[in-house]
Amino acid sequence: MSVVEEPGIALAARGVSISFNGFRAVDEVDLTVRQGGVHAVIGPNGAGKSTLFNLITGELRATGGTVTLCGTDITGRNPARIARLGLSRAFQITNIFPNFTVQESLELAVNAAKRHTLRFLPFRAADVPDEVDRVLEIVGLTPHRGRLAKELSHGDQRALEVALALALRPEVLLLDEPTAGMAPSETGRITDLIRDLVDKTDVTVLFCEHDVPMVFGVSDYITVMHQGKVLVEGTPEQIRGNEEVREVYLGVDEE
Amino acid sequence: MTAVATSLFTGISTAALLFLVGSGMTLIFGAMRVINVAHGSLYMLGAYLLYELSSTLGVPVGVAIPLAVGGVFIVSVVIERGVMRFTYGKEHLIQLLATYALVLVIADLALIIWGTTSRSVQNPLPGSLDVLGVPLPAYRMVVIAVAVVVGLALWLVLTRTRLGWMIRGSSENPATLEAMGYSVSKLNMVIFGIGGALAGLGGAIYAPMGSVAPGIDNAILIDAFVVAVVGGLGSIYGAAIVALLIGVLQGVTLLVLPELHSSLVFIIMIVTLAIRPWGLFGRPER
Amino acid sequence: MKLDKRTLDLGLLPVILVAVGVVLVLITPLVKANVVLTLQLGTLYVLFAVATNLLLGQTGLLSFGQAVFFGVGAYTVTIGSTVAGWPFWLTVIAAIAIPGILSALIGALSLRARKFYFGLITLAFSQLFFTLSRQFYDLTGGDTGMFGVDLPKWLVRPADSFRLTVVVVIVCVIALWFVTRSPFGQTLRAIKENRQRAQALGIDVYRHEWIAFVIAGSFTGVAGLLFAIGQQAAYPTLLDWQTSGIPLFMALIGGMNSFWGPIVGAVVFHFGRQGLVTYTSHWQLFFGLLILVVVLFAPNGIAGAVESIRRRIAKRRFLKEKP
Repeated sequence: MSVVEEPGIALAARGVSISFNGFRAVDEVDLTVRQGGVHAVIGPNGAGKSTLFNLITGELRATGGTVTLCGTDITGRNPARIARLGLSRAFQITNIFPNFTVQESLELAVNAAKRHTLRFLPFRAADVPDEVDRVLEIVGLTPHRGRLAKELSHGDQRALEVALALALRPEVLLLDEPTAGMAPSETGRITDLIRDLVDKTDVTVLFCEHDVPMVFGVSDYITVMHQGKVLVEGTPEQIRGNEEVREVYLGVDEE
Repeated sequence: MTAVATSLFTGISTAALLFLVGSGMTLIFGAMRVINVAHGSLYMLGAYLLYELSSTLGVPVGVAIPLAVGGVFIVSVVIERGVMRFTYGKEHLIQLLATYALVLVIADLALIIWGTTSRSVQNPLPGSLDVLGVPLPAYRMVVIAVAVVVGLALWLVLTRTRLGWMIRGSSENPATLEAMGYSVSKLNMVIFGIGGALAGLGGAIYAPMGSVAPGIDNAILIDAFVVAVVGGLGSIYGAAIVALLIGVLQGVTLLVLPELHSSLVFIIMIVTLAIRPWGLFGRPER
Repeated sequence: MKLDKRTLDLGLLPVILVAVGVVLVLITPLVKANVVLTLQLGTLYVLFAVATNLLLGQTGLLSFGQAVFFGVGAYTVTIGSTVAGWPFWLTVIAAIAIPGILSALIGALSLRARKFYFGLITLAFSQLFFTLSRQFYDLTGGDTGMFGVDLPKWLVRPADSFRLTVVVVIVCVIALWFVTRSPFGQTLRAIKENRQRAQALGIDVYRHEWIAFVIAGSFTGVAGLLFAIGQQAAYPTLLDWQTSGIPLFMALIGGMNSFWGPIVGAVVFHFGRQGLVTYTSHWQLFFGLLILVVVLFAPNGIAGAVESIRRRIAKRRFLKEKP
């Protein structure tokens, strides 16, 4: 099944599904992410958001459907390959290198991005430190560059999580619940970061979130998932006024 | 024809021994996720204890075997309490090296007590029985019978008793078991004890068939690994099947392809681990 | 293509190593022949340990099969110079190339298995080669092994082979140090820290692990080659799992999370064992007990202990400075 290459589409999923022991966690999901924008996926717990993301980045293998990245088919490829093709992700559960310093972690990511990992001589390439500085600046971790990753505060660790993905200079940046575990006062940092990224660079951001109000402030387009399927899609205004969405969220709250 | 039958029979009796030792290893790994490199040493201990009881103290073999097994059970429990307990949850290397250290200690203690000379235990059933015109050693028949009985007993315990249920629960989800009020710590002690005792039984039963000397710990260890790993770590059934396979194949290759005889076991292990690391009957996760 | 600005970040280690090497080479004539043999063995064990730790401490790969490359390196020298009748330079090249090729093949196969299954498959390889070496006695001298290597005149005396060993080991260890400090070394450490995250950064983990395995195997082969030259022997137990365990012990004692740990560990292990052997025939017992103590109570080894002392001093200093 060939996918028509549409200009301006950074990431497209068509009919993506996965089942676990007969349970359809993701059911025929279509997702179209426009280049240069911020696209959010929301839905109550268990809606399948993280699973969908894992399918897109190759951590899980879909049982049906296709995923394309800027026109290239990435269905069923392994995560490393997909990352090299331009889709990088930050994880929901902080997944960093605990005993590396912030500086070292980013150096590694930049080296990976520049395909320097097979250099066997202990020389540091000239542009690496600058690149590391750039990313540290964007996420606001410059003062913490010498600290061990495991000793950072939770909010800083989330920032490092995003920084690692950013260091790859991806076409599409995928953030899996970036504000997970953060206090409401801290989430502004992430929203500012996302807005900054999209304004200053040409990266496309796709993220999923549980914290709905934050999503409305920063997204260009929202997909709502429920029980593995896409419920409705639209701009933040359209979603805000949507009856079904309110039901789904209110219904879940009342349980 | 007789040669083939005898080879086959010898192979099956070897398989019986392999099953006993391998099932102990797979039980310990399946329930506790622990690799016990000292398993071969416990086998050797069982053999030496039997020697001590029967040749030195004159206890009849039939009585000495259970006593030897009991002795190894106690030693295994002591090892679990004294050493293994401190290695749970740590890196596999720690467990491997700790049990390897035990191999050295036990081997040396055996040297101190029994020296380097080969010991032998009198075979209590030296004759052969005529089975369909083929003379088969009687003692080896007993060995096979013991393995079958033990296999059935293990199966019954694991599937029909509370202990068996706890053992299976402990491998799936020890936290839940603990929350339900069972002491996982005591359970580990029992499991390790039983696993070790199985190895000891293997050694005790082996003693009247062969020589008891330094080095038998190493020889059986790798075979036990193969049986446990290829069968599927945690699967008694798998251990039985693979033990049979290996025992028979080794017996056959001795006749047909002698060059392959010793290497066969390792080739099987390598191929299995490369294609299907959880073994024939194990489960892929963890 | 942009030219890289080179900034070296290599620390004192190479300097220390070269200094030690110079001292060792100079004092050789002052030492008795049998002591020189022991020193030679200890020195090549350092290489064995450091090479193995590239896998264990750096990449997080527990290989119980490094003895294969060690033993094959040694056997290549003994077989090459006696049965095959090769000129010496050819045996040396073969003794590096053959373990290297073998490690490429074994690595490709074994690394498909994950985590501790990898350890088991390498253990199986170790025992396989052990069994094969005992079997083909026409080639390998069977159980007894092979004794006597046709060495060129300038290597015959223990002092000469010791000096060669010191130079080769220091060069190799420094080379491995370079690899550790390189982007590749950093990538290996990242793989050890968080394999999944490394994948998600676009790193082909299998490929990097494989390369590390080949590097480790090749340098281990060199250690085996030095063994055959200095000890002038090769025998089956060099290939079994217990020999594979030796560099792991050394790395553990010295501290596998640092580069210099295995160096210290090799020295402590080897000379400790030698010392024990001369005092008691029951060295295995004491050794086993010692390993138990280290494993249970000091799993980070000597380097780990040094590190925690350093940290405690730093913390105390920090606390003192507070108002």
